Amino acid sequence: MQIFKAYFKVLNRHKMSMMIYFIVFIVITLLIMGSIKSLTATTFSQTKSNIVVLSDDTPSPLTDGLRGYLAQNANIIDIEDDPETVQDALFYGNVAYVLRIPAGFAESFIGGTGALPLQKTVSASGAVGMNLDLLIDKYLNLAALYEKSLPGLDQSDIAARVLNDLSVAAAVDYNTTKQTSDTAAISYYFRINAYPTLAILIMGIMTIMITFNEPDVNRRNLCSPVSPMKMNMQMFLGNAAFAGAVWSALCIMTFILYGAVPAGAGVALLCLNSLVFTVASLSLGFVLGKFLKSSVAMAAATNVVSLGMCFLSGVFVDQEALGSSVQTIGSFTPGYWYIKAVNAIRDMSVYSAQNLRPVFYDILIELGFALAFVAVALVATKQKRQTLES
Amino acid sequence: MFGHIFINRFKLLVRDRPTVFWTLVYPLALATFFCLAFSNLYGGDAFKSIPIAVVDNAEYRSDTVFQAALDSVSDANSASENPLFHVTVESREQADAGLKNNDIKGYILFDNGARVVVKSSDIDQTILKEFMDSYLQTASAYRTIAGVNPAALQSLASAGTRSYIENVTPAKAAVSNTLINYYALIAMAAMFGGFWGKKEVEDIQADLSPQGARMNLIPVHKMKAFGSSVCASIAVQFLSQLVLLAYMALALGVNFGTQLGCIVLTGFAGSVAGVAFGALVAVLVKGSANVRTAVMLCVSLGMSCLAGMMNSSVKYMVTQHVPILAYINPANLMTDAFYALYYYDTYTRFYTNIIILFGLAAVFFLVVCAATRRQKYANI
Repeated sequence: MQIFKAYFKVLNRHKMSMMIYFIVFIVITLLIMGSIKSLTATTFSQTKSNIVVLSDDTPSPLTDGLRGYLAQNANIIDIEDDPETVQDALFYGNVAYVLRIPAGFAESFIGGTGALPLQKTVSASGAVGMNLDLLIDKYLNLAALYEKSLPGLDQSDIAARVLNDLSVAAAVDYNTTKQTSDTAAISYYFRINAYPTLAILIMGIMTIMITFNEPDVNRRNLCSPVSPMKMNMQMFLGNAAFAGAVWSALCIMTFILYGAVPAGAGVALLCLNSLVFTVASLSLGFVLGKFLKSSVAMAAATNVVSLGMCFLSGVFVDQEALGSSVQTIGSFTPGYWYIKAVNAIRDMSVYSAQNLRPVFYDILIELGFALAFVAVALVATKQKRQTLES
Repeated sequence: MFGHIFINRFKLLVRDRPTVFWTLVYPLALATFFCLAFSNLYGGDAFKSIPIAVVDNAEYRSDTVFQAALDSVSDANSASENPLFHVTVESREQADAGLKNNDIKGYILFDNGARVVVKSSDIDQTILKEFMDSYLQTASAYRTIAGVNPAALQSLASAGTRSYIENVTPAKAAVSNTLINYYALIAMAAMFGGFWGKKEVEDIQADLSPQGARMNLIPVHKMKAFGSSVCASIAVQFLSQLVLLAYMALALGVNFGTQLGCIVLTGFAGSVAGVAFGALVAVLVKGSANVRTAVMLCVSLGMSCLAGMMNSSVKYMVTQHVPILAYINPANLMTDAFYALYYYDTYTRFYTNIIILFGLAAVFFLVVCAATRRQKYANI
């Protein structure tokens, strides 16, 4: 097992550069974990957006009522009423909606000639702004309704009646099974997993390949008393052991970060999917190692290939949010099919043969990529050996 | 002398392919990936009608008031300017199937009163529930009024509803969630210019490279030689910044605003600060070349991350909670300069950033000069 041992000696010497990706994975995951919203909700909870309410008007029951109603249905953020602070908060998405109540609004609304318009400033997202528009207009339209139909009511009376009406709510049936929510949360970590898997395997395998394929080392190995068959076998074992170790380390890490995992078909499928993707990454590293010769080129290729594939296939940005042309480009990489399978498992509520078939197709395509990479590498090996011998 | 060193150094630097890769090709590749991945992300900012269904049963058919209310917010009604919903009327089985396949976001079911059926709680579902609530709440108001002043109901039929809100644009340019990522990417490329600065120090210090030992023997003042070659480094880095800026603006369509001179100035300030930063790392970090490279990479990536390269809210959080960190981080200053140019009418914030950036570069270079001049070695 000399070669098998040498394999891990080489890897050991480069462990730091591979550890970097492992650490990056953990950092990204921890960062995201803080911001990811709980997916395990079993009851309907309305989405609350961040809103700033700035008032130039003197406080009145009408505007206080509006503010109170908004506080129930959105998160009111208190920030300084300074143009730059407000603009920054909007730009960075800290606040989705800024409502400014002009001076004299309540007076113009009740018994006035016509209500002054409220001023809103929204960041880009359309649906959030739409929702808050609905809430505010609803409150004011009801107030106007009372004002017109029951003349003589004072402001606080109107506000009280409006708020009383607004406490009526429609019943909601929430059709989600607990099971899907559980796989939904963990599938997220498996999605991010694709990046360290790719980067570590490409980096590791290429390091090995470049070391062993250096012409002098290779020539020396070819005239050693170990048969090429045995040598390749040990190399293969080394690759398998390395890939297995990376896969299990990342899976275990995912479980540690996620916490308690309810064992089930969904989790098993996710693990199987990532195992096949690990094999595909391994063969991608194998084929790249055949073509690149220096460690500088290796670092460049690792970064560009792994980041590129992750961006194109929907690891960092949700696959459903990618443009259709990007998805088409992405579908020429194994990462795309890995993520597609992860998403399909995430959305699956019943594990029937009919539902599982597309997932297995995706996994088979990943396997097809692995075979294709190996085939290219073998052709390259053959050609290289011929030039080496000549 | 200056010209001789500058030109030869320039030629030498542009042939250093690994460094050219990290300072130019790698940022170009990342920018392309950003563009591909983000292209669709915030493109659909305009509100799109939400697909929903209504279960067609006797209770629904008898409620003509609700039908009218639903019609007024449906895209089937051409009078509605900004329709909330795309409504299909179908059987309960069809609606269930549609919900399961994500064809609709939710459906309304009349079963002894109206219910909303959804399978997740996002903004679209919230709007659907909001609409249903709104209908019931208005009905409640009408009931109250009918109890007190039935005569008023007649005139109410024609009253209708109106919007009390008018839109005000936030600043001179539209909010865009991905711009900060691009700006911080340029800042990352500028900080990677530190590879050039690091190389400059390594090539002038006798204990770091054989070239350095030779350079200490030349009949030219050390700081003069160092100054000339640093200028060559800055020139190479500035050129690659210009290529990156041009590629982003022209090929990828990243919006930088229109003040070309200020944009180029930011690129130049970033190049100077980046080279100075690399030189500082080379002076401060003792150890092998690999250790210096690792420190440089980690620090510059960390700075770009804090400047919002991965997530723009990181930059916001830093500015809110640890403002001092935002002012001493060259990557953040550069990102913020681009942001201020794009978003603000005034130039105060832009020039503040640029001045601090040049100030930091000056401090870095002073430290480097103090540390490298007049060093003597008993042995190397």
